[in-house]
Amino acid sequence: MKTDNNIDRYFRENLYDFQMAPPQTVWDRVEQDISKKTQKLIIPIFLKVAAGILLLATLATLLWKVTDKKDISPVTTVAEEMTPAKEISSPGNLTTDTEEIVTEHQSQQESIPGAAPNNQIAVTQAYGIYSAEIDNSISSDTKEETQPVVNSSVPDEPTHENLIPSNDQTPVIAESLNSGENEPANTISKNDVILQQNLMVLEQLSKNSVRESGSRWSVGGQAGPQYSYRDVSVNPGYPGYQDYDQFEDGMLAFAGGINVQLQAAKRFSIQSGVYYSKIGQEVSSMIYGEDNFFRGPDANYAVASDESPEPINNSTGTFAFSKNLPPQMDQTVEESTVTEGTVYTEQSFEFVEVPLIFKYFIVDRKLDISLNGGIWTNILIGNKAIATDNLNFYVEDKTNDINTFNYSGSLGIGFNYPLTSNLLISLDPIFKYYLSPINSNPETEVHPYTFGIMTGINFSF
Amino acid sequence: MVDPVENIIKGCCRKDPRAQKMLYERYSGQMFGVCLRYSTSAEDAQDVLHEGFLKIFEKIEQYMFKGSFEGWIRKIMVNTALEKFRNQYKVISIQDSAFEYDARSAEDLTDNMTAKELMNLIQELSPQYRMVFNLYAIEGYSHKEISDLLNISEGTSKSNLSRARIILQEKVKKYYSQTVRTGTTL
Repeated sequence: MKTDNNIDRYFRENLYDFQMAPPQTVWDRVEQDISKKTQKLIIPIFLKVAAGILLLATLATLLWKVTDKKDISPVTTVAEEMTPAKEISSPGNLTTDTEEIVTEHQSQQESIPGAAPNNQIAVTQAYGIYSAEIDNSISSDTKEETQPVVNSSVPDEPTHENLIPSNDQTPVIAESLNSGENEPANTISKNDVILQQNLMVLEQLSKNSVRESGSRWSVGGQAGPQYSYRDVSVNPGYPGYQDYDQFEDGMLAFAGGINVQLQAAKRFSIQSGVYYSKIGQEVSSMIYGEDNFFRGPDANYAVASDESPEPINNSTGTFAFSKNLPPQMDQTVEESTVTEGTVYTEQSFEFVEVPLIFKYFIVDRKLDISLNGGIWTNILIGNKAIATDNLNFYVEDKTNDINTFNYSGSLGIGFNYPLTSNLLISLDPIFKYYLSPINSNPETEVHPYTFGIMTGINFSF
Repeated sequence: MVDPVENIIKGCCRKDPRAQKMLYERYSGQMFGVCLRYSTSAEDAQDVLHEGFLKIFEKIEQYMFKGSFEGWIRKIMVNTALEKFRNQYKVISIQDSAFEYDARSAEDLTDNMTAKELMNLIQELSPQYRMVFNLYAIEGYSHKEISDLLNISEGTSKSNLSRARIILQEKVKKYYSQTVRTGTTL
């Protein structure tokens, strides 16, 4: 119970409400510092993230433009070298153009009589497996560099109407197969041109039909490194309050897991799964003293007295060790011995995470690029605080007041590259922010965040 | 009717410079009094006041109108003073119980000393005793709260308080003996 006495009362009654006007200079300094802070551009964390996403989206768009050009460029380049670049826009034009091609072909084929030109090479290089299969079926011995004149590009939304019929109504592939032996060169060239265009349209149709035909499931795994730190808001009335950012640092950790994905619409898919994630923070050089009054001028953190270890108060919470941190140096201060020391401390937290991620494909080509946004449930499964002097002292405990259930939001970009028709590899830069504070201390709010780069592999059915 | 202080606080939340100045003008005198009690000199107190008001303006959104606003800013000032004190001074703790203050010996105190003179006596205390005496005797914190706030044991808090009382009592007595000798009246 609190005791009172005359001295206490005497001073309290006279001094509790004691007021004195401070010099004007104090307000001048306060005002100056406030205006400096206001002028300083304070970018909230979500704006930084939005800026990052915007930057990534811009890069992705640029990348798409580049890859899109690359798809067509081998054909156009050769075509330009071989003939004046003319587009095949109608059967009428086709006649003129193919006549020119005939000339080119005839002149080149003189050295290899009877050889059928293999115009599929360029298409194969540029458009992948569909044309490759057909290429095999009509392959000949020659691997000439002869290329068709194909400047037309595949329409964004191809339909069967985009398929160009051959002029004699004969199936294009059949004609090509026969062409090497029986047909004149001009037929081969004309049909090859048509064939290539049709192949491109068919490929796109085939790809779209998968997306449009409805849901498509895939399963996969992802893993990668992540940098984690925290956004902290501390009530200045909190005991031991200080500028924690001065001493504390983020740390590099790891995340990974398995996922299942549903292609729900043409450009939209939903992903979930089970992930493991480790996050945390560290103080690389924590200077401590016996307690706040003992700790000397350089100490950032107060710890144990001689009797029992006292908890360390830092931004993410308090953590206490089962034994005293090692005294490393003694200082004599006002005839008393002050013990200080330095240790490395690390607080790490492990979570099992279940996400719900929405993916919107902004680029839908050979390399798919998606914008990903998700919400995650993070369940705490590991909580460890360590201190070591990196020599012979090591002690381990846990951080107090950490919530078991947490919720976070994520934003990211997904790059997916198909290895085969149903196997793809992915690279996903991801930013995750804990929407709920992970600690239950009312004086501090700690929102961890992570930047990760996940690499993965997915198999679709 | 809306409390005018509430409007000022809301203005400060919007970083309105006029509201910030009004808040400062309203509370700076009182808070400077708090800062003086925790400081060795007026210059130190001005620094604490400056830093304390910066924190108040920065964190005012956290106030949330729960509890007394004056209590909140006073707490920030006290914490700012403690933080400065920790960074500035090498402090020792006296944990033995050799200094048991006898409350009866101060019964003959009169109210003749001015608040400013009492403030000087407090400022002359060593930083450690000043902190504990201020927190316990004037702010009304318990030893348990002080031990949490300063991360010291309750025993340390009690012995520091005892010692501070003895020192203050001796100084008050000395003050009176001098005024009696010189015949000065207060």
